[in-house]
Amino acid sequence: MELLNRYLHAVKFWLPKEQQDDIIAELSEDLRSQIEDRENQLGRKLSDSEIAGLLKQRGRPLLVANRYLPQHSLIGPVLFPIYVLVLKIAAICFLVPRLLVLIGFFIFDPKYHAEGIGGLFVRTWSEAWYGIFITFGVVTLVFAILEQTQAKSGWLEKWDPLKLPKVKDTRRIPRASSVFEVVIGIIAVMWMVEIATSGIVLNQASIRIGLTGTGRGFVWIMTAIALFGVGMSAVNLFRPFWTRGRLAVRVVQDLVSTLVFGLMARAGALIVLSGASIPAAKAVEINATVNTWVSLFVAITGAICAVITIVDLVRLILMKTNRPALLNQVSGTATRLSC
Amino acid sequence: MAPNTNNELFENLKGELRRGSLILAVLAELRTEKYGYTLRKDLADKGMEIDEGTLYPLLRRLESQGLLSSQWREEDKRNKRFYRLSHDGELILCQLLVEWENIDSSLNKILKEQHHGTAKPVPARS
Repeated sequence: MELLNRYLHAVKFWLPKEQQDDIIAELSEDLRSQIEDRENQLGRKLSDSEIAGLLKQRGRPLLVANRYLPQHSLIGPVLFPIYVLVLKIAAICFLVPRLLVLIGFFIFDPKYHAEGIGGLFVRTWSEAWYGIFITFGVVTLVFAILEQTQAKSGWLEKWDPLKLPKVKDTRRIPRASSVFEVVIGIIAVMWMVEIATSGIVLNQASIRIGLTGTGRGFVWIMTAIALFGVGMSAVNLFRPFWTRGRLAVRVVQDLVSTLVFGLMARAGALIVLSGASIPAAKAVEINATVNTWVSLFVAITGAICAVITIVDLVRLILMKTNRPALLNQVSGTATRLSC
Repeated sequence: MAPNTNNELFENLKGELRRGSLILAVLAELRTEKYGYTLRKDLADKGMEIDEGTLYPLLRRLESQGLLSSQWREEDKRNKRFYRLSHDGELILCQLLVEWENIDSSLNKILKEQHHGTAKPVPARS
Protein backbone atom coordinates (compact mmCIF):
# COMPACT_ATOMS: atom_id res chain seq x y z
CA MET A 1 0.00 0.00 0.00
CA GLU A 2 3.06 2.25 0.04
CA LEU A 3 2.49 2.95 -3.63
CA LEU A 4 -1.08 3.98 -2.91
CA ASN A 5 0.06 6.38 -0.20
CA ARG A 6 2.60 7.92 -2.54
CA TYR A 7 -0.13 8.38 -5.14
CA LEU A 8 -2.50 9.99 -2.63
CA HIS A 9 0.27 12.26 -1.40
CA ALA A 10 0.97 13.38 -4.97
CA VAL A 11 -2.71 14.15 -5.59
CA LYS A 12 -2.96 16.00 -2.26
CA PHE A 13 -0.16 18.36 -3.28
CA TRP A 14 -2.36 19.91 -6.01
CA LEU A 15 -5.56 20.22 -3.99
CA PRO A 16 -6.73 23.36 -2.18
CA LYS A 17 -5.70 23.19 1.49
CA GLU A 18 -9.20 23.42 2.95
CA GLN A 19 -10.41 20.40 0.93
CA GLN A 20 -7.25 18.27 0.89
CA ASP A 21 -8.05 15.89 3.74
CA ASP A 22 -11.67 15.38 2.78
CA ILE A 23 -10.96 14.62 -0.87
CA ILE A 24 -7.98 12.41 -0.10
CA ALA A 25 -9.97 10.40 2.46
CA GLU A 26 -12.69 9.74 -0.10
CA LEU A 27 -10.24 8.99 -2.92
CA SER A 28 -8.30 6.68 -0.63
CA GLU A 29 -11.48 4.83 0.32
CA ASP A 30 -12.49 4.43 -3.32
CA LEU A 31 -9.08 3.12 -4.35
CA ARG A 32 -8.92 0.73 -1.39
CA SER A 33 -12.39 -0.59 -2.25
CA GLN A 34 -11.33 -1.12 -5.85
CA ILE A 35 -8.15 -2.94 -4.78
CA GLU A 36 -10.10 -5.04 -2.29
CA ASP A 37 -12.64 -6.01 -4.95
CA ARG A 38 -9.90 -7.04 -7.33
CA GLU A 39 -8.14 -9.04 -4.61
CA ASN A 40 -11.39 -10.86 -3.80
CA GLN A 41 -11.83 -11.73 -7.48
CA LEU A 42 -8.27 -13.08 -7.76
CA GLY A 43 -8.18 -14.63 -4.29
CA ARG A 44 -4.79 -13.12 -3.51
CA LYS A 45 -3.08 -9.83 -2.71
CA LEU A 46 -2.34 -7.51 -5.63
CA SER A 47 1.30 -7.02 -6.55
CA ASP A 48 2.87 -3.57 -6.74
CA SER A 49 2.80 -3.66 -10.54
CA GLU A 50 -0.93 -4.49 -10.50
CA ILE A 51 -1.60 -1.62 -8.10
CA ALA A 52 0.53 0.60 -10.33
CA GLY A 53 -1.71 -0.46 -13.25
CA LEU A 54 -4.83 0.56 -11.33
CA LEU A 55 -3.29 3.92 -10.41
CA LYS A 56 -2.18 4.53 -13.97
CA GLN A 57 -5.73 3.87 -15.09
CA ARG A 58 -6.97 6.38 -12.51
CA GLY A 59 -4.80 9.10 -14.04
CA ARG A 60 -1.85 11.36 -13.36
CA PRO A 61 -2.13 12.97 -9.89
CA LEU A 62 -2.24 16.50 -11.32
CA LEU A 63 -5.12 15.59 -13.65
CA VAL A 64 -7.03 13.80 -10.90
CA ALA A 65 -6.66 16.81 -8.60
CA ASN A 66 -7.51 19.18 -11.43
CA ARG A 67 -11.03 17.74 -11.68
CA TYR A 68 -11.76 18.94 -8.17
CA LEU A 69 -10.51 22.45 -8.86
CA PRO A 70 -12.60 25.31 -10.23
CA GLN A 71 -11.88 25.92 -13.93
CA HIS A 72 -9.82 29.06 -14.58
CA SER A 73 -8.60 30.50 -17.84
CA LEU A 74 -6.55 33.60 -18.54
CA ILE A 75 -8.61 34.33 -21.64
CA GLY A 76 -11.89 32.44 -21.88
CA PRO A 77 -13.59 30.99 -24.96
CA VAL A 78 -15.80 34.07 -25.41
CA LEU A 79 -12.93 36.53 -25.80
CA PHE A 80 -10.44 34.13 -27.39
CA PRO A 81 -11.48 34.68 -31.05
CA ILE A 82 -11.25 38.48 -30.55
CA TYR A 83 -7.87 38.02 -28.85
CA VAL A 84 -6.52 36.04 -31.81
CA LEU A 85 -7.87 38.64 -34.26
CA VAL A 86 -6.20 41.50 -32.34
CA LEU A 87 -2.92 39.55 -32.21
CA LYS A 88 -3.05 39.10 -36.00
CA ILE A 89 -3.75 42.81 -36.55
CA ALA A 90 -0.94 43.74 -34.13
CA ALA A 91 1.43 41.38 -35.94
CA ILE A 92 0.57 42.94 -39.31
CA CYS A 93 0.90 46.50 -37.97
CA PHE A 94 4.23 45.62 -36.38
CA LEU A 95 5.78 43.53 -39.15
CA VAL A 96 4.57 45.12 -42.41
CA PRO A 97 6.22 48.56 -41.88
CA ARG A 98 9.47 46.81 -40.91
CA LEU A 99 9.25 44.63 -43.98
CA LEU A 100 8.67 47.66 -46.22
CA VAL A 101 11.67 49.48 -44.76
CA LEU A 102 13.73 46.30 -45.14
CA ILE A 103 12.80 45.92 -48.83
CA GLY A 104 13.46 49.63 -49.39
CA PHE A 105 16.92 49.43 -47.82
CA PHE A 106 17.74 46.24 -49.68
CA ILE A 107 16.87 47.74 -53.05
CA PHE A 108 18.40 51.10 -52.34
CA ASP A 109 21.48 50.66 -50.18
CA PRO A 110 24.35 48.63 -51.73
CA LYS A 111 25.89 47.89 -48.31
CA TYR A 112 22.87 45.66 -47.54
CA HIS A 113 23.46 43.64 -50.73
CA ALA A 114 26.57 42.03 -49.26
CA GLU A 115 24.60 40.83 -46.26
CA GLY A 116 22.07 39.10 -48.52
CA ILE A 117 18.29 39.08 -48.10
CA GLY A 118 18.52 36.07 -45.73
CA GLY A 119 21.01 37.78 -43.44
CA LEU A 120 18.94 40.92 -43.50
CA PHE A 121 15.84 38.97 -42.45
CA VAL A 122 17.74 37.32 -39.60
CA ARG A 123 19.03 40.70 -38.42
CA THR A 124 15.57 42.28 -38.61
CA TRP A 125 14.08 39.40 -36.64
CA SER A 126 16.75 39.56 -33.97
CA GLU A 127 16.02 43.28 -33.60
CA ALA A 128 12.25 42.81 -33.76
CA TRP A 129 11.73 39.97 -31.27
CA TYR A 130 11.75 42.29 -28.25
CA GLY A 131 9.00 44.42 -29.78
CA ILE A 132 7.02 41.30 -30.76
CA PHE A 133 7.38 39.94 -27.22
CA ILE A 134 6.21 43.23 -25.67
CA THR A 135 3.28 43.55 -28.13
CA PHE A 136 2.18 39.97 -27.46
CA GLY A 137 2.50 40.53 -23.69
CA VAL A 138 0.55 43.80 -23.68
CA VAL A 139 -2.29 42.38 -25.83
CA THR A 140 -2.48 39.29 -23.60
CA LEU A 141 -2.49 41.41 -20.44
CA VAL A 142 -5.26 43.68 -21.77
CA PHE A 143 -7.38 40.67 -22.70
CA ALA A 144 -6.77 39.00 -19.34
CA ILE A 145 -8.08 42.18 -17.66
CA LEU A 146 -11.02 42.28 -20.09
CA GLU A 147 -11.77 38.65 -19.26
CA GLN A 148 -11.98 39.47 -15.57
CA THR A 149 -14.11 42.59 -16.10
CA GLN A 150 -16.35 40.84 -18.66
CA ALA A 151 -16.98 38.00 -16.20
CA LYS A 152 -18.07 40.54 -13.57
CA SER A 153 -19.84 43.19 -15.67
CA GLY A 154 -21.07 41.05 -18.58
CA TRP A 155 -20.39 43.93 -21.01
CA LEU A 156 -20.31 41.54 -23.95
CA GLU A 157 -23.98 40.75 -23.42
CA LYS A 158 -24.88 44.43 -23.71
CA TRP A 159 -25.19 45.10 -27.44
CA ASP A 160 -27.60 46.57 -29.96
CA PRO A 161 -28.39 44.70 -33.20
CA LEU A 162 -29.24 48.06 -34.84
CA LYS A 163 -25.62 49.11 -34.46
CA LEU A 164 -24.23 46.17 -36.44
CA PRO A 165 -22.00 47.30 -39.36
CA LYS A 166 -23.44 47.17 -42.86
CA VAL A 167 -22.44 44.22 -45.02
CA LYS A 168 -19.87 45.25 -47.60
CA ASP A 169 -19.70 43.66 -51.02
CA THR A 170 -16.00 43.20 -51.68
CA ARG A 171 -16.60 43.18 -55.45
CA ARG A 172 -18.17 46.62 -55.48
CA ILE A 173 -15.91 49.52 -56.44
CA PRO A 174 -16.98 52.73 -54.68
CA ARG A 175 -17.78 55.41 -57.28
CA ALA A 176 -16.17 58.06 -55.08
CA SER A 177 -12.82 56.30 -55.24
CA SER A 178 -13.10 55.87 -59.04
CA VAL A 179 -13.87 59.59 -59.45
CA PHE A 180 -10.94 60.44 -57.17
CA GLU A 181 -8.60 58.15 -59.14
CA VAL A 182 -9.68 59.65 -62.48
CA VAL A 183 -9.23 63.25 -61.30
CA ILE A 184 -5.89 62.65 -59.58
CA GLY A 185 -4.75 60.48 -62.50
CA ILE A 186 -5.51 63.18 -65.09
CA ILE A 187 -3.71 65.84 -63.03
CA ALA A 188 -0.70 63.49 -62.60
CA VAL A 189 -0.61 62.62 -66.31
CA MET A 190 -0.75 66.30 -67.30
CA TRP A 191 2.04 67.14 -64.89
CA MET A 192 4.21 64.22 -65.98
CA VAL A 193 3.75 65.02 -69.71
CA GLU A 194 4.76 68.60 -68.94
CA ILE A 195 7.93 67.68 -67.03
CA ALA A 196 8.86 64.86 -69.43
CA THR A 197 8.64 67.12 -72.50
CA SER A 198 10.33 70.11 -70.90
CA GLY A 199 12.73 68.12 -68.71
CA ILE A 200 12.16 70.69 -65.93
CA VAL A 201 10.48 69.92 -62.63
CA LEU A 202 11.01 73.30 -60.98
CA ASN A 203 12.39 76.49 -62.42
CA GLN A 204 12.86 79.29 -59.89
CA ALA A 205 15.19 82.24 -60.02
CA SER A 206 17.54 80.77 -57.42
CA ILE A 207 17.17 77.05 -58.17
CA ARG A 208 16.32 74.81 -61.09
CA ILE A 209 15.40 71.15 -60.79
CA GLY A 210 15.61 69.24 -64.03
CA LEU A 211 15.39 65.61 -65.12
CA THR A 212 18.33 63.59 -66.39
CA GLY A 213 17.90 61.65 -69.61
CA THR A 214 17.20 58.48 -67.60
CA GLY A 215 14.74 60.40 -65.39
CA ARG A 216 12.81 61.66 -68.45
CA GLY A 217 12.60 58.12 -69.84
CA PHE A 218 11.16 56.81 -66.59
CA VAL A 219 8.67 59.70 -66.36
CA TRP A 220 7.38 58.79 -69.84
CA ILE A 221 6.93 55.17 -68.73
CA MET A 222 5.15 56.30 -65.55
CA THR A 223 2.95 58.58 -67.67
CA ALA A 224 1.90 55.60 -69.78
CA ILE A 225 1.11 53.57 -66.67
CA ALA A 226 -0.83 56.48 -65.12
CA LEU A 227 -2.77 56.99 -68.35
CA PHE A 228 -3.67 53.33 -68.41
CA GLY A 229 -4.74 53.64 -64.74
CA VAL A 230 -7.01 56.58 -65.62
CA GLY A 231 -8.63 54.46 -68.32
CA MET A 232 -9.15 51.61 -65.85
CA SER A 233 -10.68 53.95 -63.27
CA ALA A 234 -12.98 55.40 -65.93
CA VAL A 235 -14.21 51.88 -66.77
CA ASN A 236 -14.67 51.18 -63.04
CA LEU A 237 -16.71 54.36 -62.75
CA PHE A 238 -19.34 53.05 -65.15
CA ARG A 239 -19.04 49.38 -64.26
CA PRO A 240 -18.48 49.52 -60.52
CA PHE A 241 -17.90 45.79 -59.87
CA TRP A 242 -14.63 43.94 -59.97
CA THR A 243 -14.51 41.20 -62.56
CA ARG A 244 -11.77 38.62 -62.85
CA GLY A 245 -10.51 40.16 -66.08
CA ARG A 246 -10.30 43.69 -64.73
CA LEU A 247 -8.69 42.54 -61.51
CA ALA A 248 -6.12 40.54 -63.50
CA VAL A 249 -5.30 43.65 -65.57
CA ARG A 250 -4.99 45.59 -62.32
CA VAL A 251 -2.51 43.02 -60.97
CA VAL A 252 -0.42 43.30 -64.15
CA GLN A 253 -0.50 47.09 -63.84
CA ASP A 254 0.62 46.86 -60.19
CA LEU A 255 3.39 44.46 -61.15
CA VAL A 256 4.67 46.67 -63.97
CA SER A 257 4.61 49.70 -61.62
CA THR A 258 6.60 47.73 -59.01
CA LEU A 259 9.20 46.71 -61.60
CA VAL A 260 9.50 50.26 -62.94
CA PHE A 261 9.96 51.68 -59.43
CA GLY A 262 12.55 48.97 -58.74
CA LEU A 263 14.48 49.86 -61.90
CA MET A 264 14.20 53.59 -61.11
CA ALA A 265 15.63 53.02 -57.62
CA ARG A 266 18.70 51.34 -59.11
CA ALA A 267 19.06 53.64 -62.15
CA GLY A 268 21.30 56.23 -60.48
CA ALA A 269 20.80 59.97 -60.96
CA LEU A 270 17.25 60.89 -62.00
CA ILE A 271 17.29 64.66 -61.38
CA VAL A 272 19.75 67.50 -61.72
CA LEU A 273 19.85 70.48 -59.40
CA SER A 274 21.41 73.74 -60.49
CA GLY A 275 21.32 77.35 -59.45
CA ALA A 276 23.23 80.54 -59.92
CA SER A 277 24.13 80.70 -56.24
CA ILE A 278 25.33 77.08 -56.02
CA PRO A 279 29.05 76.67 -56.67
CA ALA A 280 29.93 73.95 -59.21
CA ALA A 281 31.86 71.83 -56.67
CA LYS A 282 29.03 72.02 -54.14
CA ALA A 283 26.43 71.20 -56.84
CA VAL A 284 27.93 67.74 -57.42
CA GLU A 285 27.69 66.94 -53.71
CA ILE A 286 24.12 68.29 -53.44
CA ASN A 287 23.04 66.36 -56.57
CA ALA A 288 24.46 63.12 -55.17
CA THR A 289 22.64 63.60 -51.85
CA VAL A 290 19.33 64.60 -53.44
CA ASN A 291 19.44 61.67 -55.89
CA THR A 292 20.17 59.32 -52.99
CA TRP A 293 17.02 60.53 -51.24
CA VAL A 294 15.00 60.34 -54.47
CA SER A 295 16.16 56.73 -54.95
CA LEU A 296 15.17 55.91 -51.36
CA PHE A 297 11.74 57.47 -51.87
CA VAL A 298 11.29 55.56 -55.15
CA ALA A 299 12.39 52.29 -53.48
CA ILE A 300 9.86 52.71 -50.68
CA THR A 301 7.13 53.54 -53.22
CA GLY A 302 8.12 50.40 -55.11
CA ALA A 303 7.85 48.35 -51.92
CA ILE A 304 4.36 49.77 -51.29
CA CYS A 305 3.45 48.86 -54.88
CA ALA A 306 4.72 45.32 -54.26
CA VAL A 307 2.43 44.99 -51.24
CA ILE A 308 -0.53 46.32 -53.27
CA THR A 309 0.32 43.78 -56.01
CA ILE A 310 0.26 40.94 -53.47
CA VAL A 311 -3.05 42.14 -52.01
CA ASP A 312 -4.64 42.39 -55.47
CA LEU A 313 -3.22 39.00 -56.42
CA VAL A 314 -4.77 37.43 -53.32
CA ARG A 315 -8.09 39.06 -54.18
CA LEU A 316 -7.82 37.69 -57.70
CA ILE A 317 -7.08 34.17 -56.44
CA LEU A 318 -9.97 34.32 -54.00
CA MET A 319 -12.23 35.52 -56.79
CA LYS A 320 -11.08 32.63 -58.98
CA THR A 321 -12.20 30.12 -56.40
CA ASN A 322 -15.70 31.42 -57.11
CA ARG A 323 -16.37 32.21 -53.49
CA PRO A 324 -19.66 34.06 -53.43
CA ALA A 325 -19.49 37.47 -51.82
CA LEU A 326 -20.90 37.65 -48.31
CA LEU A 327 -23.60 39.98 -49.54
CA ASN A 328 -24.67 37.38 -52.09
CA GLN A 329 -24.69 34.69 -49.40
CA VAL A 330 -26.82 36.80 -47.12
CA SER A 331 -29.24 37.81 -49.86
CA GLY A 332 -29.35 34.19 -51.01
CA THR A 333 -30.24 33.08 -47.51
CA ALA A 334 -32.90 35.76 -47.31
CA THR A 335 -34.36 34.58 -50.61
CA ARG A 336 -34.42 31.00 -49.43
CA LEU A 337 -36.06 32.02 -46.17
CA SER A 338 -38.75 33.97 -48.00
CA CYS A 339 -39.61 30.97 -50.23
CA MET B 1 -14.12 11.50 -42.84
CA ALA B 2 -11.43 9.09 -41.55
CA PRO B 3 -12.71 6.27 -39.29
CA ASN B 4 -10.59 7.48 -36.36
CA THR B 5 -11.95 11.02 -36.63
CA ASN B 6 -15.42 9.59 -36.92
CA ASN B 7 -14.97 7.51 -33.77
CA GLU B 8 -13.51 10.45 -31.90
CA LEU B 9 -16.38 12.66 -33.00
CA PHE B 10 -18.90 10.04 -31.94
CA GLU B 11 -17.24 9.67 -28.53
CA ASN B 12 -17.29 13.45 -28.05
CA LEU B 13 -20.94 13.71 -29.00
CA LYS B 14 -21.81 10.72 -26.83
CA GLY B 15 -20.03 12.39 -23.92
CA GLU B 16 -22.04 15.56 -24.44
CA LEU B 17 -25.27 13.60 -24.68
CA ARG B 18 -24.53 11.64 -21.50
CA ARG B 19 -23.34 14.60 -19.43
CA GLY B 20 -26.77 15.91 -18.53
CA SER B 21 -28.30 12.48 -18.02
CA LEU B 22 -25.50 11.49 -15.63
CA ILE B 23 -26.65 14.08 -13.13
CA LEU B 24 -30.17 12.71 -13.37
CA ALA B 25 -28.92 9.14 -12.92
CA VAL B 26 -26.79 10.08 -9.88
CA LEU B 27 -29.61 11.99 -8.21
CA ALA B 28 -32.08 9.19 -8.88
CA GLU B 29 -29.69 6.52 -7.62
CA LEU B 30 -29.10 8.45 -4.41
CA ARG B 31 -32.71 8.26 -3.37
CA THR B 32 -31.22 5.49 -1.26
CA GLU B 33 -28.04 6.20 0.68
CA LYS B 34 -24.79 5.00 -0.90
CA TYR B 35 -21.10 5.67 -0.75
CA GLY B 36 -19.08 6.57 -3.82
CA TYR B 37 -17.71 3.18 -4.75
CA THR B 38 -21.04 1.31 -4.54
CA LEU B 39 -22.82 4.15 -6.32
CA ARG B 40 -20.40 3.84 -9.23
CA LYS B 41 -20.81 0.06 -9.32
CA ASP B 42 -24.60 0.27 -9.17
CA LEU B 43 -24.67 2.81 -11.98
CA ALA B 44 -22.33 0.63 -14.06
CA ASP B 45 -24.52 -2.44 -13.42
CA LYS B 46 -27.47 -0.49 -14.79
CA GLY B 47 -25.54 0.48 -17.92
CA MET B 48 -24.54 3.98 -16.83
CA GLU B 49 -20.73 3.77 -16.68
CA ILE B 50 -19.11 6.76 -15.00
CA ASP B 51 -15.45 7.14 -14.21
CA GLU B 52 -14.26 8.11 -10.75
CA GLY B 53 -12.70 11.33 -12.00
CA THR B 54 -16.15 12.48 -13.06
CA LEU B 55 -18.25 11.00 -10.28
CA TYR B 56 -16.49 12.35 -7.19
CA PRO B 57 -16.19 15.98 -8.32
CA LEU B 58 -19.84 15.75 -9.46
CA LEU B 59 -20.90 14.49 -6.02
CA ARG B 60 -19.05 17.35 -4.34
CA ARG B 61 -20.64 19.88 -6.70
CA LEU B 62 -24.14 18.52 -6.14
CA GLU B 63 -23.53 18.59 -2.40
CA SER B 64 -22.30 22.18 -2.50
CA GLN B 65 -25.48 23.03 -4.44
CA GLY B 66 -27.52 21.54 -1.61
CA LEU B 67 -28.94 18.66 -3.67
CA LEU B 68 -27.09 15.95 -1.74
CA SER B 69 -26.12 15.51 1.86
CA SER B 70 -23.21 13.39 3.00
CA GLN B 71 -21.98 11.76 6.16
CA TRP B 72 -18.74 10.01 7.09
CA ARG B 73 -19.49 6.71 8.77
CA GLU B 74 -17.62 3.55 9.63
CA GLU B 75 -18.54 0.42 7.70
CA ASP B 76 -16.53 -2.80 7.56
CA LYS B 77 -13.91 -1.15 9.80
CA ARG B 78 -13.38 1.61 7.23
CA ASN B 79 -14.51 5.19 7.13
CA LYS B 80 -16.77 5.81 4.17
CA ARG B 81 -18.62 8.85 2.98
CA PHE B 82 -22.30 8.14 2.39
CA TYR B 83 -24.38 10.33 0.13
CA ARG B 84 -28.13 10.69 -0.16
CA LEU B 85 -30.58 12.97 -1.85
CA SER B 86 -31.50 16.03 0.25
CA HIS B 87 -35.00 17.50 0.45
CA ASP B 88 -34.07 20.15 -2.16
CA GLY B 89 -32.51 17.41 -4.25
CA GLU B 90 -35.80 15.48 -4.26
CA LEU B 91 -37.69 18.53 -5.51
CA ILE B 92 -35.12 19.23 -8.22
CA LEU B 93 -35.08 15.57 -9.22
CA CYS B 94 -38.87 15.63 -9.69
CA GLN B 95 -38.60 18.73 -11.88
CA LEU B 96 -35.73 17.25 -13.86
CA LEU B 97 -37.64 14.01 -14.42
CA VAL B 98 -40.59 15.97 -15.85
CA GLU B 99 -38.15 17.82 -18.09
CA TRP B 100 -36.51 14.56 -19.09
CA GLU B 101 -39.88 13.10 -20.08
CA ASN B 102 -40.66 16.24 -22.12
CA ILE B 103 -37.36 15.95 -23.94
CA ASP B 104 -37.90 12.25 -24.48
CA SER B 105 -41.40 12.73 -25.89
CA SER B 106 -40.27 15.66 -28.11
CA LEU B 107 -37.38 13.65 -29.44
CA ASN B 108 -39.67 10.70 -30.09
CA LYS B 109 -42.05 12.94 -32.03
CA ILE B 110 -39.17 14.34 -34.10
CA LEU B 111 -37.79 10.88 -34.78
CA LYS B 112 -41.22 9.54 -35.77
CA GLU B 113 -41.79 12.48 -38.13
CA GLN B 114 -38.42 11.77 -39.69
CA HIS B 115 -39.34 8.12 -39.97
CA HIS B 116 -42.58 8.87 -41.80
CA GLY B 117 -41.19 11.76 -43.83
CA THR B 118 -38.01 10.18 -45.21
CA ALA B 119 -36.92 6.87 -46.61
CA LYS B 120 -34.29 6.36 -43.91
CA PRO B 121 -35.52 4.11 -41.09
CA VAL B 122 -34.92 5.13 -37.48
CA PRO B 123 -33.34 2.40 -35.38
CA ALA B 124 -35.65 1.00 -32.74
CA ARG B 125 -34.99 2.32 -29.23
CA SER B 126 -34.38 -0.27 -26.55
